Amino acid sequence: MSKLIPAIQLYTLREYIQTPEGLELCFKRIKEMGCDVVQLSRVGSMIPADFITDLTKEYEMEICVTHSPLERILNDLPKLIEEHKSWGCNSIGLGNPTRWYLDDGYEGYCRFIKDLEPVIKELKANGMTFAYHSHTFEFVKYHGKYMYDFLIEETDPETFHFIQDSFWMKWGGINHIKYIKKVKNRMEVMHVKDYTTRLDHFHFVEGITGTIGEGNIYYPPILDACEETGVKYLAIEQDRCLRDPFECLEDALVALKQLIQN
Amino acid sequence: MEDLKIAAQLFSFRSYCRNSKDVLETLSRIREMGYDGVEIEGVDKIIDANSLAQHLKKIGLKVCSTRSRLSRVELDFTGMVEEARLFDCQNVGIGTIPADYAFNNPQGWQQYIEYINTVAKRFSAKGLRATYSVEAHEFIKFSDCGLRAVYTFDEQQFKKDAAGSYGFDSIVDGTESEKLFFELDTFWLAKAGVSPADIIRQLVGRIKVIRFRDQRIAESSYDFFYPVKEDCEVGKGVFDFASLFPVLKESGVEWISIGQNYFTRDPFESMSTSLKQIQIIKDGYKI
Repeated sequence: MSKLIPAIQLYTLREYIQTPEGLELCFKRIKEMGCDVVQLSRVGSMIPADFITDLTKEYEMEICVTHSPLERILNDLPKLIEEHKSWGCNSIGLGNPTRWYLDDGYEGYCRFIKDLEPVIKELKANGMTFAYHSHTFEFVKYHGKYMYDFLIEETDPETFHFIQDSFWMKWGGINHIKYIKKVKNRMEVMHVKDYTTRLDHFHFVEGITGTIGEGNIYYPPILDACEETGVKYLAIEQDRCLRDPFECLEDALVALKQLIQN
Repeated sequence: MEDLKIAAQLFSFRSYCRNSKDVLETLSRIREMGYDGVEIEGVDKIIDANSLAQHLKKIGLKVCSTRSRLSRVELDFTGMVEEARLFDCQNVGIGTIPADYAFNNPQGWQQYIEYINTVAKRFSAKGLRATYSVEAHEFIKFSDCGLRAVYTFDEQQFKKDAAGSYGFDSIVDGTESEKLFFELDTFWLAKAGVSPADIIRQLVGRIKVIRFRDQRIAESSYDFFYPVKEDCEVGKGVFDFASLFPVLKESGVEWISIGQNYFTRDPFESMSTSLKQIQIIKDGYKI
Protein backbone atom coordinates (compact mmCIF):
# COMPACT_ATOMS: atom_id res chain seq x y z
CA MET A 1 0.00 0.00 0.00
CA SER A 2 1.25 3.29 -1.03
CA LYS A 3 1.79 6.33 1.16
CA LEU A 4 0.56 8.90 -1.35
CA ILE A 5 -2.07 11.23 0.08
CA PRO A 6 -4.94 12.51 -2.05
CA ALA A 7 -5.61 16.24 -1.90
CA ILE A 8 -8.05 18.59 -3.61
CA GLN A 9 -6.77 21.45 -5.75
CA LEU A 10 -9.28 24.24 -5.09
CA TYR A 11 -8.82 25.63 -8.61
CA THR A 12 -11.49 23.13 -9.64
CA LEU A 13 -13.92 24.95 -7.35
CA ARG A 14 -12.74 28.46 -8.27
CA GLU A 15 -16.28 29.70 -8.83
CA TYR A 16 -17.27 28.69 -5.32
CA ILE A 17 -14.39 30.13 -3.32
CA GLN A 18 -14.65 33.85 -3.98
CA THR A 19 -16.41 34.63 -0.70
CA PRO A 20 -15.61 33.56 2.89
CA GLU A 21 -18.93 31.66 3.10
CA GLY A 22 -18.23 29.87 -0.15
CA LEU A 23 -14.74 28.86 0.94
CA GLU A 24 -16.06 27.53 4.24
CA LEU A 25 -18.72 25.52 2.42
CA CYS A 26 -16.05 24.04 0.16
CA PHE A 27 -13.87 23.06 3.13
CA LYS A 28 -16.92 21.42 4.69
CA ARG A 29 -17.83 19.47 1.58
CA ILE A 30 -14.26 18.38 0.94
CA LYS A 31 -14.05 17.15 4.50
CA GLU A 32 -17.29 15.22 4.02
CA MET A 33 -15.86 13.62 0.88
CA GLY A 34 -13.13 12.16 3.04
CA CYS A 35 -10.24 14.39 2.12
CA ASP A 36 -8.10 16.30 4.64
CA VAL A 37 -5.70 18.16 2.36
CA VAL A 38 -6.26 21.01 -0.06
CA GLN A 39 -4.20 23.21 -2.31
CA LEU A 40 -5.21 26.88 -2.24
CA SER A 41 -5.55 28.36 -5.70
CA ARG A 42 -7.70 31.17 -7.06
CA VAL A 43 -9.11 31.85 -3.61
CA GLY A 44 -10.96 35.18 -3.59
CA SER A 45 -8.44 37.93 -2.89
CA MET A 46 -10.90 39.65 -0.53
CA ILE A 47 -10.90 36.71 1.87
CA PRO A 48 -8.65 37.58 4.85
CA ALA A 49 -5.73 35.26 5.50
CA ASP A 50 -6.75 34.95 9.15
CA PHE A 51 -10.10 33.63 8.12
CA ILE A 52 -8.38 30.86 6.16
CA THR A 53 -6.18 30.12 9.18
CA ASP A 54 -9.28 29.72 11.31
CA LEU A 55 -10.87 27.47 8.71
CA THR A 56 -7.87 25.17 8.55
CA LYS A 57 -8.05 24.78 12.33
CA GLU A 58 -11.81 24.38 12.49
CA TYR A 59 -11.93 21.76 9.74
CA GLU A 60 -8.51 20.27 10.50
CA MET A 61 -7.59 20.84 6.90
CA GLU A 62 -4.00 20.67 5.79
CA ILE A 63 -2.77 23.00 3.06
CA CYS A 64 -0.09 21.21 1.05
CA VAL A 65 0.84 24.03 -1.31
CA THR A 66 -0.67 27.14 -2.87
CA HIS A 67 -0.77 28.87 -6.17
CA SER A 68 0.04 32.46 -5.35
CA PRO A 69 0.03 35.41 -7.74
CA LEU A 70 3.47 36.17 -9.14
CA GLU A 71 3.09 39.85 -8.26
CA ARG A 72 2.78 38.96 -4.59
CA ILE A 73 5.63 36.46 -4.72
CA LEU A 74 7.92 39.13 -6.14
CA ASN A 75 6.67 42.21 -4.28
CA ASP A 76 4.95 41.07 -1.11
CA LEU A 77 7.01 38.08 -0.06
CA PRO A 78 7.40 38.66 3.72
CA LYS A 79 3.63 38.88 4.16
CA LEU A 80 3.06 35.90 1.90
CA ILE A 81 5.54 33.85 3.93
CA GLU A 82 3.82 34.89 7.12
CA GLU A 83 0.43 33.86 5.76
CA HIS A 84 1.76 30.50 4.62
CA LYS A 85 3.30 29.90 8.02
CA SER A 86 0.03 30.67 9.72
CA TRP A 87 -1.62 28.08 7.48
CA GLY A 88 1.05 25.55 8.29
CA CYS A 89 2.06 25.42 4.65
CA ASN A 90 5.71 25.52 3.74
CA SER A 91 5.53 25.71 -0.01
CA ILE A 92 4.59 28.71 -2.13
CA GLY A 93 3.51 27.65 -5.57
CA LEU A 94 3.14 29.43 -8.87
CA GLY A 95 0.44 28.44 -11.37
CA ASN A 96 2.36 29.83 -14.34
CA PRO A 97 4.70 32.69 -15.17
CA THR A 98 2.90 35.73 -16.51
CA ARG A 99 3.02 36.90 -20.10
CA TRP A 100 5.47 39.55 -18.97
CA TYR A 101 7.98 36.69 -19.10
CA LEU A 102 6.40 34.17 -21.46
CA ASP A 103 6.07 36.56 -24.36
CA ASP A 104 9.86 36.88 -24.51
CA GLY A 105 10.58 33.19 -24.96
CA TYR A 106 14.02 32.12 -23.86
CA GLU A 107 15.05 35.58 -22.70
CA GLY A 108 11.83 35.77 -20.70
CA TYR A 109 12.54 32.53 -18.87
CA CYS A 110 16.08 33.63 -18.07
CA ARG A 111 14.67 36.84 -16.64
CA PHE A 112 12.11 34.81 -14.72
CA ILE A 113 14.76 32.60 -13.14
CA LYS A 114 16.87 35.66 -12.30
CA ASP A 115 13.98 37.61 -10.80
CA LEU A 116 13.11 34.66 -8.62
CA GLU A 117 16.60 34.26 -7.21
CA PRO A 118 16.07 36.57 -4.19
CA VAL A 119 12.71 34.90 -3.58
CA ILE A 120 14.32 31.47 -3.54
CA LYS A 121 17.01 32.73 -1.17
CA GLU A 122 14.42 34.19 1.20
CA LEU A 123 12.33 31.03 1.15
CA LYS A 124 15.40 28.93 1.81
CA ALA A 125 16.22 31.07 4.86
CA ASN A 126 12.69 30.39 6.09
CA GLY A 127 12.94 26.66 5.47
CA MET A 128 10.33 26.84 2.75
CA THR A 129 10.16 25.83 -0.89
CA PHE A 130 8.96 27.36 -4.12
CA ALA A 131 6.87 25.14 -6.39
CA TYR A 132 6.62 25.73 -10.14
CA HIS A 133 3.52 24.26 -11.77
CA SER A 134 4.19 23.20 -15.33
CA HIS A 135 1.93 22.79 -18.34
CA THR A 136 3.11 21.94 -21.83
CA PHE A 137 4.56 25.22 -22.99
CA GLU A 138 7.75 24.60 -21.02
CA PHE A 139 8.58 21.94 -23.60
CA VAL A 140 9.40 24.43 -26.30
CA LYS A 141 13.03 23.96 -27.29
CA TYR A 142 15.47 26.82 -27.03
CA HIS A 143 19.07 26.32 -28.09
CA GLY A 144 18.36 22.64 -28.57
CA LYS A 145 17.04 22.09 -25.07
CA TYR A 146 13.60 22.07 -23.47
CA MET A 147 12.87 25.08 -21.31
CA TYR A 148 11.74 22.65 -18.64
CA ASP A 149 15.22 21.16 -18.50
CA PHE A 150 16.66 24.65 -18.12
CA LEU A 151 14.30 25.22 -15.21
CA ILE A 152 15.42 21.98 -13.58
CA GLU A 153 19.11 22.58 -14.10
CA GLU A 154 19.47 26.31 -13.63
CA THR A 155 17.68 26.55 -10.31
CA ASP A 156 18.43 25.61 -6.71
CA PRO A 157 17.41 21.95 -6.30
CA GLU A 158 16.87 22.42 -2.59
CA THR A 159 14.29 25.19 -2.84
CA PHE A 160 13.05 25.45 -6.44
CA HIS A 161 10.56 22.58 -6.63
CA PHE A 162 7.98 21.49 -9.16
CA ILE A 163 4.32 20.61 -9.46
CA GLN A 164 3.82 18.47 -12.53
CA ASP A 165 0.46 17.79 -14.05
CA SER A 166 -0.57 14.41 -15.44
CA PHE A 167 -2.93 15.92 -18.00
CA TRP A 168 -0.60 18.50 -19.48
CA MET A 169 2.20 15.97 -19.81
CA LYS A 170 -0.19 13.69 -21.67
CA TRP A 171 -1.52 16.52 -23.77
CA GLY A 172 1.96 17.24 -25.04
CA GLY A 173 2.82 13.59 -25.62
CA ILE A 174 5.66 13.79 -23.12
CA ASN A 175 6.96 10.76 -21.23
CA HIS A 176 5.69 11.76 -17.81
CA ILE A 177 7.47 9.08 -15.82
CA LYS A 178 10.82 10.22 -17.20
CA TYR A 179 10.10 13.74 -15.98
CA ILE A 180 8.87 12.62 -12.57
CA LYS A 181 12.25 10.96 -12.15
CA LYS A 182 14.07 14.07 -13.35
CA VAL A 183 12.63 16.10 -10.47
CA LYS A 184 13.35 13.46 -7.85
CA ASN A 185 12.99 14.89 -4.35
CA ARG A 186 11.89 18.18 -5.88
CA MET A 187 8.17 17.53 -6.09
CA GLU A 188 5.96 17.13 -3.02
CA VAL A 189 2.66 17.75 -4.78
CA MET A 190 1.60 16.53 -8.19
CA HIS A 191 -1.60 17.47 -9.97
CA VAL A 192 -3.69 14.56 -11.14
CA LYS A 193 -6.62 14.51 -13.49
CA ASP A 194 -7.66 12.36 -16.38
CA TYR A 195 -7.38 12.79 -20.13
CA THR A 196 -10.79 12.14 -21.62
CA THR A 197 -11.39 12.33 -25.33
CA ARG A 198 -14.38 13.30 -27.36
CA LEU A 199 -15.27 14.45 -30.83
CA ASP A 200 -15.33 18.18 -31.26
CA HIS A 201 -17.80 19.98 -33.48
CA PHE A 202 -15.75 19.21 -36.58
CA HIS A 203 -15.41 15.53 -35.72
CA PHE A 204 -11.81 15.81 -34.64
CA VAL A 205 -10.71 14.04 -31.53
CA GLU A 206 -9.84 16.41 -28.72
CA GLY A 207 -8.39 15.66 -25.32
CA ILE A 208 -10.02 17.42 -22.39
CA THR A 209 -9.50 17.43 -18.65
CA GLY A 210 -11.58 14.74 -17.04
CA THR A 211 -12.46 12.96 -13.83
CA ILE A 212 -9.93 10.34 -12.76
CA GLY A 213 -11.18 6.91 -13.70
CA GLU A 214 -13.11 8.12 -16.73
CA GLY A 215 -10.27 8.78 -19.13
CA ASN A 216 -7.23 7.28 -20.80
CA ILE A 217 -4.31 7.88 -18.44
CA TYR A 218 -2.93 4.63 -17.10
CA TYR A 219 -1.96 5.58 -13.55
CA PRO A 220 -0.22 2.62 -11.84
CA PRO A 221 3.28 3.20 -13.30
CA ILE A 222 2.91 6.96 -12.72
CA LEU A 223 2.02 6.46 -9.06
CA ASP A 224 4.93 4.04 -8.64
CA ALA A 225 7.29 6.68 -10.00
CA CYS A 226 5.76 9.28 -7.67
CA GLU A 227 6.40 7.13 -4.68
CA GLU A 228 9.97 6.36 -5.69
CA THR A 229 10.79 10.02 -6.10
CA GLY A 230 9.34 11.44 -2.91
CA VAL A 231 5.98 12.83 -4.02
CA LYS A 232 3.69 13.13 -1.01
CA TYR A 233 0.40 14.54 -2.23
CA LEU A 234 -1.67 13.95 -5.32
CA ALA A 235 -3.85 17.00 -5.79
CA ILE A 236 -6.99 16.24 -7.78
CA GLU A 237 -7.78 18.95 -10.26
CA GLN A 238 -10.23 19.22 -13.11
CA ASP A 239 -10.12 22.44 -15.09
CA ARG A 240 -13.39 21.92 -16.83
CA CYS A 241 -16.21 19.86 -15.36
CA LEU A 242 -19.11 18.76 -17.51
CA ARG A 243 -21.23 18.24 -14.39
CA ASP A 244 -21.23 19.38 -10.77
CA PRO A 245 -17.54 19.91 -9.88
CA PHE A 246 -18.09 18.55 -6.39
CA GLU A 247 -19.35 15.30 -7.87
CA CYS A 248 -16.41 15.15 -10.26
CA LEU A 249 -14.03 15.60 -7.34
CA GLU A 250 -15.84 13.04 -5.25
CA ASP A 251 -15.75 10.43 -8.03
CA ALA A 252 -12.11 11.22 -8.76
CA LEU A 253 -11.26 10.89 -5.07
CA VAL A 254 -12.85 7.44 -4.87
CA ALA A 255 -11.02 6.35 -8.03
CA LEU A 256 -7.71 7.80 -6.85
CA LYS A 257 -7.96 6.15 -3.44
CA GLN A 258 -8.53 2.84 -5.20
CA LEU A 259 -5.51 3.42 -7.42
CA ILE A 260 -3.37 4.29 -4.41
CA GLN A 261 -4.48 1.22 -2.51
CA ASN A 262 -3.74 -1.23 -5.31
CA MET B 1 13.92 -9.61 -33.84
CA GLU B 2 17.19 -8.79 -35.62
CA ASP B 3 15.18 -7.98 -38.70
CA LEU B 4 13.25 -4.97 -37.40
CA LYS B 5 13.27 -2.98 -40.60
CA ILE B 6 12.57 0.67 -41.30
CA ALA B 7 10.20 1.92 -43.98
CA ALA B 8 9.09 5.33 -45.17
CA GLN B 9 5.45 6.25 -45.44
CA LEU B 10 4.82 7.23 -49.03
CA PHE B 11 2.01 9.52 -47.90
CA SER B 12 4.69 11.83 -46.48
CA PHE B 13 5.87 12.37 -50.06
CA ARG B 14 2.41 12.82 -51.52
CA SER B 15 3.30 16.13 -53.15
CA TYR B 16 6.16 14.33 -54.93
CA CYS B 17 3.85 11.62 -56.29
CA ARG B 18 1.75 13.54 -58.77
CA ASN B 19 2.50 11.34 -61.80
CA SER B 20 4.03 7.96 -62.52
CA LYS B 21 7.48 9.36 -63.27
CA ASP B 22 7.51 11.25 -59.97
CA VAL B 23 6.45 8.17 -58.04
CA LEU B 24 9.32 6.11 -59.43
CA GLU B 25 11.84 8.85 -58.80
CA THR B 26 10.59 9.41 -55.26
CA LEU B 27 10.87 5.69 -54.52
CA SER B 28 14.43 5.67 -55.82
CA ARG B 29 15.29 8.60 -53.58
CA ILE B 30 13.72 6.83 -50.58
CA ARG B 31 15.95 3.85 -51.29
CA GLU B 32 19.01 6.08 -51.64
CA MET B 33 18.32 7.55 -48.20
CA GLY B 34 18.76 4.07 -46.79
CA TYR B 35 15.21 2.97 -46.10
CA ASP B 36 14.57 -0.78 -46.27
CA GLY B 37 10.99 -0.42 -47.36
CA VAL B 38 8.06 1.77 -48.12
CA GLU B 39 4.43 1.96 -47.14
CA ILE B 40 2.52 2.19 -50.43
CA GLU B 41 -0.50 4.41 -50.31
CA GLY B 42 -2.64 6.42 -52.69
CA VAL B 43 -0.79 5.77 -55.94
CA ASP B 44 -2.97 2.99 -57.38
CA LYS B 45 -4.66 5.44 -59.74
CA ILE B 46 -1.39 7.12 -60.72
CA ILE B 47 0.78 4.17 -61.66
CA ASP B 48 -0.02 0.57 -62.52
CA ALA B 49 1.01 -2.00 -59.98
CA ASN B 50 3.10 -4.00 -62.47
CA SER B 51 5.57 -1.30 -63.34
CA LEU B 52 5.66 -0.17 -59.73
CA ALA B 53 6.55 -3.69 -58.61
CA GLN B 54 9.24 -3.95 -61.29
CA HIS B 55 10.81 -0.69 -60.21
CA LEU B 56 10.74 -1.63 -56.53
CA LYS B 57 12.48 -4.90 -57.35
CA LYS B 58 15.07 -3.10 -59.43
CA ILE B 59 16.01 -0.65 -56.71
CA GLY B 60 15.69 -3.23 -53.92
CA LEU B 61 12.99 -1.49 -51.91
CA LYS B 62 10.53 -3.72 -50.06
CA VAL B 63 6.90 -2.93 -49.30
CA CYS B 64 5.93 -3.17 -45.64
CA SER B 65 2.24 -2.58 -46.19
CA THR B 66 -0.25 -1.27 -48.66
CA ARG B 67 -2.90 1.11 -47.44
CA SER B 68 -6.35 1.62 -48.92
CA ARG B 69 -9.66 2.93 -47.82
CA LEU B 70 -12.17 0.37 -46.61
CA SER B 71 -14.42 1.14 -49.59
CA ARG B 72 -11.81 -0.29 -51.96
CA VAL B 73 -12.48 -3.76 -50.59
CA GLU B 74 -15.88 -3.83 -52.29
CA LEU B 75 -14.78 -1.96 -55.39
CA ASP B 76 -11.46 -3.57 -56.12
CA PHE B 77 -10.76 -6.62 -53.97
CA THR B 78 -8.86 -8.42 -56.73
CA GLY B 79 -6.73 -5.34 -57.29
CA MET B 80 -5.74 -5.28 -53.63
CA VAL B 81 -4.87 -8.97 -53.65
CA GLU B 82 -2.94 -8.55 -56.89
CA GLU B 83 -0.94 -5.65 -55.45
CA ALA B 84 -0.09 -7.70 -52.40
CA ARG B 85 1.16 -10.52 -54.64
CA LEU B 86 3.17 -8.22 -56.91
CA PHE B 87 4.73 -6.31 -54.01
CA ASP B 88 5.28 -9.49 -52.03
CA CYS B 89 3.59 -7.86 -49.04
CA GLN B 90 1.13 -9.60 -46.76
CA ASN B 91 0.04 -6.54 -44.81
CA VAL B 92 -2.99 -5.06 -46.48
CA GLY B 93 -4.27 -1.90 -44.86
CA ILE B 94 -8.01 -1.39 -44.78
CA GLY B 95 -8.00 1.98 -43.07
CA THR B 96 -9.81 2.94 -39.95
CA ILE B 97 -13.51 2.86 -39.08
CA PRO B 98 -15.39 5.13 -41.52
CA ALA B 99 -17.46 7.96 -40.09
CA ASP B 100 -20.68 6.50 -41.47
CA TYR B 101 -20.51 3.79 -38.84
CA ALA B 102 -21.07 6.59 -36.34
CA PHE B 103 -18.03 5.58 -34.41
CA ASN B 104 -19.14 7.18 -31.19
CA ASN B 105 -21.82 4.66 -30.41
CA PRO B 106 -21.59 0.98 -29.54
CA GLN B 107 -24.13 -0.15 -32.16
CA GLY B 108 -22.14 1.41 -35.00
CA TRP B 109 -19.04 -0.36 -33.80
CA GLN B 110 -20.83 -3.70 -33.61
CA GLN B 111 -22.04 -3.35 -37.22
CA TYR B 112 -18.57 -2.36 -38.32
CA ILE B 113 -16.94 -5.26 -36.52
CA GLU B 114 -19.36 -7.76 -38.08
CA TYR B 115 -18.51 -6.41 -41.51
CA ILE B 116 -14.79 -6.21 -40.94
CA ASN B 117 -14.73 -9.82 -39.78
CA THR B 118 -15.98 -10.89 -43.19
CA VAL B 119 -13.37 -8.67 -44.83
CA ALA B 120 -10.59 -10.11 -42.68
CA LYS B 121 -11.76 -13.62 -43.58
CA ARG B 122 -11.59 -12.86 -47.32
CA PHE B 123 -8.02 -11.59 -47.05
CA SER B 124 -7.03 -14.38 -44.74
CA ALA B 125 -8.23 -16.92 -47.34
CA LYS B 126 -5.74 -15.34 -49.76
CA GLY B 127 -2.95 -15.62 -47.20
CA LEU B 128 -2.98 -11.90 -46.44
CA ARG B 129 -3.30 -9.91 -43.24
CA ALA B 130 -6.07 -7.34 -43.18
CA THR B 131 -4.68 -4.44 -41.16
CA TYR B 132 -6.73 -1.89 -39.26
CA SER B 133 -5.23 1.57 -38.73
CA VAL B 134 -5.64 2.68 -35.14
CA GLU B 135 -6.21 6.41 -34.80
CA ALA B 136 -7.62 8.23 -31.77
CA HIS B 137 -11.38 7.90 -32.04
CA GLU B 138 -11.15 4.27 -30.89
CA PHE B 139 -10.31 5.63 -27.46
CA ILE B 140 -13.30 7.85 -27.00
CA LYS B 141 -15.50 6.35 -24.37
CA PHE B 142 -18.98 5.79 -25.69
CA SER B 143 -20.17 8.23 -23.06
CA ASP B 144 -18.04 11.07 -24.32
CA CYS B 145 -19.54 11.59 -27.76
CA GLY B 146 -19.05 15.30 -27.56
CA LEU B 147 -22.16 16.89 -28.86
CA ARG B 148 -24.53 14.88 -26.73
CA ALA B 149 -22.59 15.61 -23.62
CA VAL B 150 -22.83 19.31 -24.27
CA TYR B 151 -26.32 19.78 -25.62
CA THR B 152 -28.55 17.01 -24.33
CA PHE B 153 -26.83 16.31 -21.16
CA ASP B 154 -28.34 13.52 -19.14
CA GLU B 155 -26.61 12.98 -15.86
CA GLN B 156 -27.99 9.50 -15.21
CA GLN B 157 -27.00 8.27 -18.64
CA PHE B 158 -23.56 9.84 -18.28
CA LYS B 159 -22.85 7.94 -15.09
CA LYS B 160 -24.00 4.70 -16.66
CA ASP B 161 -21.88 5.22 -19.75
CA ALA B 162 -18.80 6.48 -17.97
CA ALA B 163 -18.12 2.96 -16.82
CA GLY B 164 -18.45 1.80 -20.44
CA SER B 165 -15.72 0.74 -22.78
CA TYR B 166 -13.91 1.94 -25.87
CA GLY B 167 -14.40 1.10 -29.51
CA PHE B 168 -10.83 -0.14 -29.28
CA ASP B 169 -11.78 -2.84 -26.77
CA SER B 170 -14.64 -4.01 -28.93
CA ILE B 171 -12.54 -4.31 -32.06
CA VAL B 172 -9.68 -6.09 -30.28
CA ASP B 173 -12.04 -8.55 -28.58
CA GLY B 174 -14.54 -8.85 -31.40
CA THR B 175 -12.12 -9.93 -34.12
CA GLU B 176 -9.91 -12.97 -34.61
CA SER B 177 -6.30 -12.48 -33.60
CA GLU B 178 -4.91 -14.45 -36.58
CA LYS B 179 -7.07 -12.64 -39.10
CA LEU B 180 -7.24 -8.96 -38.21
CA PHE B 181 -4.04 -7.05 -37.55
CA PHE B 182 -3.38 -3.52 -36.34
CA GLU B 183 -1.18 -0.70 -37.43
CA LEU B 184 -0.39 1.83 -34.72
CA ASP B 185 0.68 5.43 -35.11
CA THR B 186 2.47 7.20 -32.28
CA PHE B 187 0.95 10.54 -33.19
CA TRP B 188 -2.60 9.24 -32.91
CA LEU B 189 -1.92 7.34 -29.70
CA ALA B 190 -0.63 10.53 -28.13
CA LYS B 191 -3.69 12.37 -29.33
CA ALA B 192 -5.83 9.73 -27.64
CA GLY B 193 -3.85 10.11 -24.44
CA VAL B 194 -3.04 6.42 -24.14
CA SER B 195 0.37 4.98 -23.53
CA PRO B 196 1.75 3.40 -26.73
CA ALA B 197 3.66 0.77 -24.76
CA ASP B 198 0.44 -0.42 -23.08
CA ILE B 199 -1.35 -0.69 -26.40
CA ILE B 200 1.53 -2.60 -27.98
CA ARG B 201 1.48 -5.04 -25.06
CA GLN B 202 -2.25 -5.59 -25.56
CA LEU B 203 -1.70 -6.44 -29.21
CA VAL B 204 1.26 -8.80 -29.07
CA GLY B 205 1.46 -10.72 -32.35
CA ARG B 206 -1.18 -8.55 -33.98
CA ILE B 207 1.04 -5.64 -35.01
CA LYS B 208 3.41 -6.04 -37.92
CA VAL B 209 3.92 -2.36 -38.70
CA ILE B 210 4.11 0.55 -36.30
CA ARG B 211 4.30 4.10 -37.56
CA PHE B 212 6.60 6.57 -35.84
CA ARG B 213 5.53 10.17 -36.11
CA ASP B 214 6.74 12.88 -33.78
CA GLN B 215 5.57 16.29 -32.68
CA ARG B 216 7.27 19.28 -31.18
CA ILE B 217 5.86 21.94 -28.91
CA ALA B 218 6.18 25.38 -30.46
CA GLU B 219 5.48 28.81 -29.10
CA SER B 220 2.03 30.14 -29.66
CA SER B 221 1.66 33.86 -29.89
CA TYR B 222 -1.93 34.04 -28.73
CA ASP B 223 -2.41 31.45 -25.99
CA PHE B 224 0.51 30.03 -24.07
CA PHE B 225 -1.69 27.42 -22.39
CA TYR B 226 -2.26 25.80 -25.75
CA PRO B 227 1.10 25.87 -27.47
CA VAL B 228 1.19 24.69 -31.05
CA LYS B 229 1.92 21.02 -31.51
CA GLU B 230 3.55 20.70 -34.91
CA ASP B 231 4.91 17.80 -36.94
CA CYS B 232 8.64 17.40 -36.88
CA GLU B 233 11.37 14.92 -37.74
CA VAL B 234 11.06 11.70 -35.79
CA GLY B 235 13.35 11.79 -32.79
CA LYS B 236 13.50 15.59 -32.76
CA GLY B 237 10.24 16.07 -30.88
CA VAL B 238 8.81 15.16 -27.50
CA PHE B 239 7.88 11.51 -28.03
CA ASP B 240 10.08 9.04 -26.23
CA PHE B 241 10.74 6.44 -28.94
CA ALA B 242 13.63 4.86 -27.06
CA SER B 243 11.23 3.69 -24.37
CA LEU B 244 9.22 1.75 -26.97
CA PHE B 245 12.02 -0.45 -28.21
CA PRO B 246 12.07 -2.90 -25.28
CA VAL B 247 8.34 -3.46 -25.83
CA LEU B 248 8.68 -3.74 -29.60
CA LYS B 249 11.20 -6.47 -29.05
CA GLU B 250 8.58 -8.74 -27.48
CA SER B 251 5.63 -7.75 -29.62
CA GLY B 252 6.46 -9.34 -32.97
CA VAL B 253 6.58 -6.02 -34.83
CA GLU B 254 8.51 -6.37 -38.09
CA TRP B 255 8.52 -2.87 -39.49
CA ILE B 256 8.87 0.66 -38.23
CA SER B 257 7.34 3.03 -40.73
CA ILE B 258 8.49 6.61 -40.49
CA GLY B 259 6.08 9.35 -41.43
CA GLN B 260 5.56 13.08 -41.21
CA ASN B 261 2.47 14.81 -42.51
CA TYR B 262 3.67 18.40 -42.72
CA PHE B 263 7.17 19.67 -43.24
CA THR B 264 8.94 22.88 -42.47
CA ARG B 265 11.81 22.07 -44.84
CA ASP B 266 12.52 19.71 -47.73
CA PRO B 267 10.64 16.45 -47.00
CA PHE B 268 13.53 14.36 -48.31
CA GLU B 269 15.92 16.08 -45.93
CA SER B 270 13.55 15.69 -43.00
CA MET B 271 12.81 12.04 -43.71
CA SER B 272 16.51 11.36 -44.00
CA THR B 273 17.09 12.98 -40.61
CA SER B 274 14.27 10.92 -39.11
CA LEU B 275 15.79 7.71 -40.44
CA LYS B 276 19.17 8.53 -38.94
CA GLN B 277 17.59 9.37 -35.56
CA ILE B 278 15.71 6.08 -35.40
CA GLN B 279 18.73 4.09 -36.54
CA ILE B 280 20.75 5.57 -33.69
CA ILE B 281 18.07 4.64 -31.15
CA LYS B 282 17.66 1.19 -32.71
CA ASP B 283 21.39 0.51 -32.67
CA GLY B 284 21.39 1.45 -29.00
CA TYR B 285 19.05 -1.47 -28.41
CA LYS B 286 20.92 -3.85 -30.71
CA ILE B 287 17.84 -5.09 -32.49
